[in-house]
Amino acid sequence: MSYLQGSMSTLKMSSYVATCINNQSISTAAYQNVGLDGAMDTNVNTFGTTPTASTSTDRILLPAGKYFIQARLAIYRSSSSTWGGQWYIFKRSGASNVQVGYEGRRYGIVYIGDPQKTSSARAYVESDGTTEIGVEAQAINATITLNSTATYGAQYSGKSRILIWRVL
Amino acid sequence: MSYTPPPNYPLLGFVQATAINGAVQDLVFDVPNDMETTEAAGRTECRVNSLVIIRPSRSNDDPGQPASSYWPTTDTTVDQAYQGKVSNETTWFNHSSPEAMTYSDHIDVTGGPSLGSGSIHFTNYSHAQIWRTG
Repeated sequence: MSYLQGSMSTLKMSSYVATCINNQSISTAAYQNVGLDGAMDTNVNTFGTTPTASTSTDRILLPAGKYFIQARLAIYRSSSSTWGGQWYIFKRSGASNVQVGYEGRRYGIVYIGDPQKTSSARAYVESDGTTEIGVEAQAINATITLNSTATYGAQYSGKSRILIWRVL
Repeated sequence: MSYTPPPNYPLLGFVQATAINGAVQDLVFDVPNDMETTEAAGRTECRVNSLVIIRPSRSNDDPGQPASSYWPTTDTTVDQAYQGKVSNETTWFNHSSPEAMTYSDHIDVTGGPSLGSGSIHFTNYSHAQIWRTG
């Protein structure tokens, strides 16, 4: 299965990866902002624009355009009990965070029940140049750690990332 | 005087891996479907720079229940943000996603830290998404 582009020379696309802080504790109480470390890795940038990650607001400002966003979180808990985490991408609206797209969910050693969800949150966002997005996460049953640097943490699973594709 | 048109490869699609019983770095994406990729000595050429996301599929583990992390090429082995993980059947204490990604003109899976022992049974549902950017 493939999609055939008319001419490779007309294609424009940009791709960036934002990353998150280490060892952030996420509780079961409520969804909370996933902390950003401010980095924005650019893989390809034919549009010539770059989103900006703020470590003070934990939000990403998107230049005007249309984007696919995919957020996967590396979650950790040193426990054989029942635990997990779920998260979604939000779009800032006034003073509120509004969920967009579909939620991601992972669980630990014990199956946490339905519904099963994909390992990444996904969303499509159109920006007018002032649009900000971010990720909110909540633990299930027990506190979890994002981007753990503990033994058997990120080195064995990879780190959290927010993949941003600008497609138009 | 002549004119050479730009290449007209498919822009976006999926290549598959042959099923194996081994380690993640043994995965070879040698089923091009109609993506016009080529493979030699375990390395798959995408022809042009592409966003590559690999998604291994596991059907079973050996009794040692291995779990492995990996990168799509040797170029990204220092960056854990691009790393993927295939969990074992009983899982461990850390979870992320099976998707490992890179921006490259080829695929040559590199294994990262792993837990447990023995082989993983990878199915031919293991695939790589290629988004060519020219």
